[in-house]
Amino acid sequence: MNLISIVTSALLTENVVLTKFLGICPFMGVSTKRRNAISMGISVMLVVTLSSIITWTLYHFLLVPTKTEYLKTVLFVLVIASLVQLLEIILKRYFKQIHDMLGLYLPLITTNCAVLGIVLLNINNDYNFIEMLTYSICSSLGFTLVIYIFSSMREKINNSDVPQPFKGHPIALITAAIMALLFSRYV
Amino acid sequence: MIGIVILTGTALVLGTILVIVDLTINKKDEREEEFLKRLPGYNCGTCGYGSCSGMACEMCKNIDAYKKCRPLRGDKLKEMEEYLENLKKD
Repeated sequence: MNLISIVTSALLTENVVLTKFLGICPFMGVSTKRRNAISMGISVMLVVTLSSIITWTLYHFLLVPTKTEYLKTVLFVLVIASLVQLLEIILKRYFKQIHDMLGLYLPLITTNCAVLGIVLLNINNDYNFIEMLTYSICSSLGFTLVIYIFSSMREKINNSDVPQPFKGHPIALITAAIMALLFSRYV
Repeated sequence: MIGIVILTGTALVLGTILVIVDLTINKKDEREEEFLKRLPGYNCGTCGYGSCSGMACEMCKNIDAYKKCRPLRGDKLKEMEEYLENLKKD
C-alpha cells in the first residue's frame, strides 16, 4: 500500500517539476522537440536512479555510522557530478548522436536540482531501499512524462497563431503554469 | 577531521573510477604522439588548431593537415613526409 502511494505521488500529485518546481531549467530548455525531451528524460532517469542507489548506500553505511550526516549535501553533489561525467564519457563514445543532440544540457544535469532534490528527499523521508528505488524511478519517470507532454504541447503551439508578445518562452511559461495548476489539483 | 577524510576518500575513489573508465573507453591514437614528435613544437597556432598537439590530433583525422603548418620546413618537413610515406606503406 505504501509503495502504491509513493508511485502515484511521485508520478502525479507530487511531481518534481510541477509541484516541487525542481528542474525547471531542462524543462524549459530541452522541451522544444519531443525527441530531445525523451532523451533528456532517459538520461535524467539513469542519473537519478544510479545516484539514488549510491547516495543511499553511502549515507546509511558511511555517514550514519561515522556521525557525519552534515556532509550529505556536499557528498551527494560530488557523486552526481561524477556520475554525469561518466554518462557523458560513455554517451560520447557509444551514442554520439544523443550526445550531440543533448549538447550543453548533458553536463547541466549536474546542476539539475531535480536530481539533488530527489536524492535528498530519499534521505529526508527515511525510505528503505525498496521505497527509495521506487521513489527515485517514479519521480524521474514523472519528470520524463511531464517534459514529454510539455514538448508535444510546445510543438503544437509553435505551429499555431500566438500573439506577437507571447511568442516563444512567455507562452511556454503560461502553459507550464496551467499544467502545474492541473497537477496540484487546483482545477 | 573524519568528515575531511570521508569527503577526500570518496572524491579520490570517484576520480579514479572516472580516469580508469576514460582511459579504457577513449584509447588514444598511437600515431598522435609520433606526429607531435615530428612537428616543430613552437605552438604558434598559425595552422588554426591552437597548438602542436591540436594539429597532431587533427592529423589523425586528416593526414594532409600538416601542410598547414608554416614553421615545418627543411629537414623537419622531409622527416615528416618520410614518416607519413612509411605509414601509408604499412
